[in-house]
Order: sequence, then structure tokens, then C-alpha cells
Amino acid sequence: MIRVEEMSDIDSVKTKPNLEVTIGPLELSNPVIAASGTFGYGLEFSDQVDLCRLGGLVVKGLSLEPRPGNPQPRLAETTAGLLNSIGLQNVGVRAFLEEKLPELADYDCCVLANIFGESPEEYMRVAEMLDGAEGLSGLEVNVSCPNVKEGGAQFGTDPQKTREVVAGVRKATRMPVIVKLSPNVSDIRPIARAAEEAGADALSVSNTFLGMAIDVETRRPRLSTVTGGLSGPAIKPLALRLVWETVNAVNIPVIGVGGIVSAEDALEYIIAGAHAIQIGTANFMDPLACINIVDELETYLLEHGIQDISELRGTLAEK
Amino acid sequence: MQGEIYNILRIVKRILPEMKATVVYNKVLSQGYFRMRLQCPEVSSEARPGTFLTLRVSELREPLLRRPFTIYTYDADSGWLDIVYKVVGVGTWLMSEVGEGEKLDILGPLGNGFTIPGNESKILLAAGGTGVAALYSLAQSILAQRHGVEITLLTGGAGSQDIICVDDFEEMGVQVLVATEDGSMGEMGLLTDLLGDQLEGSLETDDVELFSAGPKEMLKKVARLAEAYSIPCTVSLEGRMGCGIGACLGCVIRVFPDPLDAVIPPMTVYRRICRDGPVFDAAEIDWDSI
Ligand SMILES: Cc1cc2nc3c(=O)[nH]c(=O)nc-3n(C[C@H](O)[C@H](O)[C@H](O)COP(=O)(O)OP(=O)(O)OC[C@H]3O[C@@H](n4cnc5c(N)ncnc54)[C@H](O)[C@@H]3O)c2cc1C
Ligand SMILES: Cc1cc2nc3c(=O)[nH]c(=O)nc-3n(C[C@H](O)[C@H](O)[C@H](O)COP(=O)(O)O)c2cc1C
Ligand code: FES
Repeated sequence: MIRVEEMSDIDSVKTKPNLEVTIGPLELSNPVIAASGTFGYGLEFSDQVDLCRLGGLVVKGLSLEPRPGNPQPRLAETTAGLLNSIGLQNVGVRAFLEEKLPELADYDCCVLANIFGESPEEYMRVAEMLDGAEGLSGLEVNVSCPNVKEGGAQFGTDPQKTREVVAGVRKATRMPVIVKLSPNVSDIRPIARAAEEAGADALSVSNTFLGMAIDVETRRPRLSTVTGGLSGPAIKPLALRLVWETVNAVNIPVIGVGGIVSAEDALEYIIAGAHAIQIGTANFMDPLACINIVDELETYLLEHGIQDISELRGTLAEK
Repeated sequence: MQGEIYNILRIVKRILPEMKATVVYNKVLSQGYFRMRLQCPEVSSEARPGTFLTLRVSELREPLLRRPFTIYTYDADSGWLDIVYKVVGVGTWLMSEVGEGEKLDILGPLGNGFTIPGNESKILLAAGGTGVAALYSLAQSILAQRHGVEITLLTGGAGSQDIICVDDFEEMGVQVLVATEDGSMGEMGLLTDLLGDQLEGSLETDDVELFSAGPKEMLKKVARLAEAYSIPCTVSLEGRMGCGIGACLGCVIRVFPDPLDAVIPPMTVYRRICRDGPVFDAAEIDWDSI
């Protein structure tokens, strides 16, 4: 905001670069999307963040019925990372449709609903209920939550199960379907291809990496569930590798997710071939993280004389 | 060259708008305890007793997350606010190194804050360690609204070095009683022993209201005492926070389900300390979960 004014001298010299991106059927004003579970239902951030300036936002994972989530402790900070075991606490798809989405519709913002279920049928039910909801632009299917047994870990680690879930959701909705993959697999490519073949419009890569931490004084695990999902800068090189591999394995757009806190981080993903990126843990460090990254991307393009962010995509040099 | 300009611009852009508060002072209160005054009119003008702020201790990635601190006291007219903190880890250690005039990225005021009580003739405040930080501006507000009300602060810690801010309360006319585990100040024992004695001693507990802040385990005991003596009790909770603004569901506390929307079988209900709290009616909290 202040920074836009500061940049105006540069803006006037060169034409404003284009940050718009197309992800299958979705058109975003810029490639920066707030990641599921780190941005609530969007409304929590509306005091701090002009939601209209985001490329998009993904709401907290939704299930058919409300879920209470896991006992405390749910968070543990690790070196440059954050372990979480929230346990997919959410208000349920009905309350989302009745209470949250109408309020979100006041903002001109691309809203994506992250969904999960305990069975392929539940995924389908949730997708059906959200289909065509006013103010919603698409679905992100979480086949990869490592926290809760029923949360989908069994789907996202197996190409056949992933195919089943995605095909079901594809049948249940006319909306754009993004599939969010699990990093906790030995080879992500067969799973990415299964999701593509089952009708996914795009892939998000990736969810959190399974990890754990121990308090050596009490010898207790730092999370109530012992293990949890690791996010934040610590996972960026790991997720970047997965994005690069996925991009080379499928023909649909890939959204890079994992450890992005600055425009440089975002650019790495885009150069590796991502169409867009998601920001998670960085929103906790600074609620303006997404907006700052949008501004910084614009500055980078200006400084490098690049007219359109898409020109950068997949430009990884041979060495 | 181009890259260099980009880097400079990037750094300038990043730092300017975030560095909102200027450190007026950052002084030692007692061993390991500090009081920091921050000049930040935007936050102090909105502050209320029991609200908190989060502070980005380092521009680097260590520590990663913002650190939450109760707003100890504030002056909206002059635009400052104070926090009182104890050095317990890397974040608070870095804070203790911050000097006068330095800028810090703060976000606040956050949370619901206290509701100033009605007509009780006697107010009891029970503070464990830095919990005292949550109760000072509450006492200020109560006294500003209702002259002559009797307020007693019970405060406890391991030793005399953990008993902070007592003078501030006494200057306002609050009676202060101290308990230390090693007996180096006040009564020897726990804060909750002191509270038990107080409640036992006051024959008329009808119009007493209790406010408490400190570690969860202590609050649990305080809540049990309040229940036993049937006095209303309000607590200010602390918890590990991710976002501090209600989005991540990391900081939750288990509460009893609202009897009005009871479902069968009863569902576990968690509420967010940062957004629904940090101030709760002690009777709402499922203390067995702690
Ligand atoms: C709403 C709220 C208000 C607070 N107000 C104050 C205040 O006014 N003054 C003050 O000194 N502190 C306050 N705290 C606690 C303060 O936020 C922590 O002490 C601080 O974040 C520790 O950071 P660190 O990096 O120094 O410690 P870390 O290195 O993160 O942790 C050091 C040790 O302290 C423990 N710890 C850290 N944070 C907490 C916590 N929130 N609850 C329980 N244990 C914890 C850790 O488990 C670890 O053992 C408040 C917390 C909350 C949630
Ligand atoms: C507290 C927390 C809650 C999350 N909840 C969800 C969720 O409900 N659904 C989901 O698909 N991903 C969830 N995630 C994963 C993030 O969306 C993201 O994939 C991950 O954090 C990696 O990105 P980051 O390093 O930028 O945080 C959550 C992450 C965190 C930290
Ligand atoms: S800290 Fe994120 S919800 Fe409270």
C-alpha cells in the first residue's frame, strides 16, 4: 500500500507487467494464492489484508460433518518450520455454505474450497453440495492430509485410490477441480498422472511433510498426535523438487506449495514450471505476506524487463 | 546491477510498512523480566484490558512465528503501550536485546479482552508469574469506573525475582499479597494456597468476583477453588499460537458444548484462545482436558 506509492516512479517509467495467470478453467489476477488451513475462511484476515488483491484463497479443509479436531498441543515450532496436527477441525460444509461463503462473496476474490472425506462417497457428497455455490470458484481436493487416519492419507499415497476419489469428485461437480497431492510418497509421478487421468484440472504440490519433535526434558512428543505435518521454509527445497518432477510428468497446470516466504521463493517454483503458488505458514509470520509477494513479483518483473509472468514459467536453464 | 537494485528495493519495501512500533524503552524489572514501552498510536488507541499483541521478533526466519504478549498498560492519548515479559527462550531473549529507538513489527490489539465487572464490592485478582501482565490494566479500568471498590492482588512465583509489577498495583491502592515457593517473599507456598486462605477467610463471598491469569495448570486450580466457593471467575489463557488471529486453529482450548445446540452424542468443542479469548468464563472451560 505505502509501497505502491513508493514504486510509482518506476511504474511511470515502464509499463506495468502482467501478473494474470490461467490455471485450466480458472483465471487469476495474479499467481499468489493463500493456502488451505493457514488462512481460515478468509474472513479472519479481512481486517489485515485486502482480499481483493490476492490471486485467490483456499479455505480450511471442509468435510461433510463438522469436525472437532485434535487435542492440544497442535503446534510445534522447529528450525525454520512448523509442525501441526490440527486434525482437520472445520465447521462442516453446510455451515460453510450458510455462514462463511455469503460473507466471503462481498469480496472480489477467487475462493477455492479445500475438501476431504473419509470415503470416496463422502468426497463426492461434499463436492456435490458445493457445486455451483455462489461466490465459489473451484474445489481443491485434499487427498494428502497426514494428520488424521481418515483424513485421506490412504487415498493420496496410492494411484488407484487417488484415481477413484478424483473421478468421483469430477462426476459430482462442474467446477474446476484441483487435486492437492501428498509429499509423503516414494514417487509422486504415478499419483499425479492418476489424478490427471481421472479429470483433475490442476494439481497443488504439495501438502505438509510428516515429521515429529520431542521435548527432551519430559521425553514427550511435542504434538498430541506424536507425528504431524511439517510446513514452512524448512520444506521448500523438498517441495520444489516434487513440483519440478510433477511438472515434467503431467500436462495440466501445477500450483507450487511449500515454504514460500518471499518473491524469490515464489520465482523458484515458477521457473521450475509452476503456474501459480500458494503461501501457507508465511501468513503467520506476516499477515501481509501474500500481498508483499505480489508486489515483489511485480518489482522483479519490472527490474528484469519481463512483460508477463508466464514468460518465466518453466524456464529452468540446463546448467 | 539490475539484481542489486531489485534487492535493495525489496528490502526497503519489506521493512518500511511492517516496522510499526518504536521502542521507547526496554528495561529490566527483575532478573529475566523486562518491561518494554512501544510507541504505536494505531494499536494503543484500540487497546482494552486483556487484549494482546503479537510481535515479530526477528526479520529473519528464526524464530519463525510471531510471539504473543498481553498489553500490560497503554495510553491512547500519548500513543504508547507497555508489555511485560520474561525471557524463556530464543524469541524473548532476542527481545531483551532490543534497544531504545529500534522498530518492531507488531500486530494488535488482538483478542476479546475483559468485560469490566458490575457491582461486586470486592475484586480478587490472582496472577501467576507474567500472568500479572493481564490484570493491571483491568484493575486500572475498574478503579477508573468505580472509585472505592476494594481490589486485592494475589501474586505468586518461584522466588522473589518472579514477583513483578507489585509497586504499580500498590500505587493505585490495590492491596497486594505475595506467595513464593521458596519463601523469599511474602508467604511461603503456592499462589493457589494463598487464594484458598483468602476465600476461606472471607465469610461473605457473595459479592466477590475473581479474575486470574497465569499458566494453565495454575488456572485450573484457581477455577476449581472458585467453583468450590461458588464465586464467579474469569480467566485469561495462554497457549501456543500460530497465527494469533483465529485462522489456524492451533491455539484452541476445549470447552463444554453450548447446551442450546447440544448434539447427541455430545461433540467435543474447541474454541480459539486468540480470537474467542484469551478471556473466558472459567465455568466454560473443560479443565479436565488440561
Ligand atoms: C495471549 C498470550 C499472552 C501472553 N502474554 C505474555 C506476557 O504478557 N508476558 C510474557 O512474558 N509472556 C506472555 N505470553 C507467553 C509468551 O508468548 C511466550 O513466553 C513466548 O512466546 C516465548 O517465546 P520464546 O521464543 O522466548 O520461547 P520458546 O523458545 O518458544 O519457548 C521456550 C519455552 O517456553 C515454553 N513456552 C513458550 N510459549 C509458551 C506459551 N504460550 N505457553 C506455555 N509455554 C510456552 C516452550 O514450551 C518452551 O519450553 C503470552 C502468551 C499468550 C498466548
Ligand atoms: C496449521 C495448518 C493447517 C493446514 N490445514 C490444511 C488443510 O485443512 N487442508 C490442506 O489441504 N492443507 C492444509 N495445510 C497445508 C498447507 O495448505 C500447505 O500445503 C503447507 O502448509 C505447505 O505450505 P507452507 O510451507 O507455505 O505452509 C495446513 C497447514 C498448516 C500449517
Ligand atoms: S493462533 Fe491461530 S487460531 Fe489462534
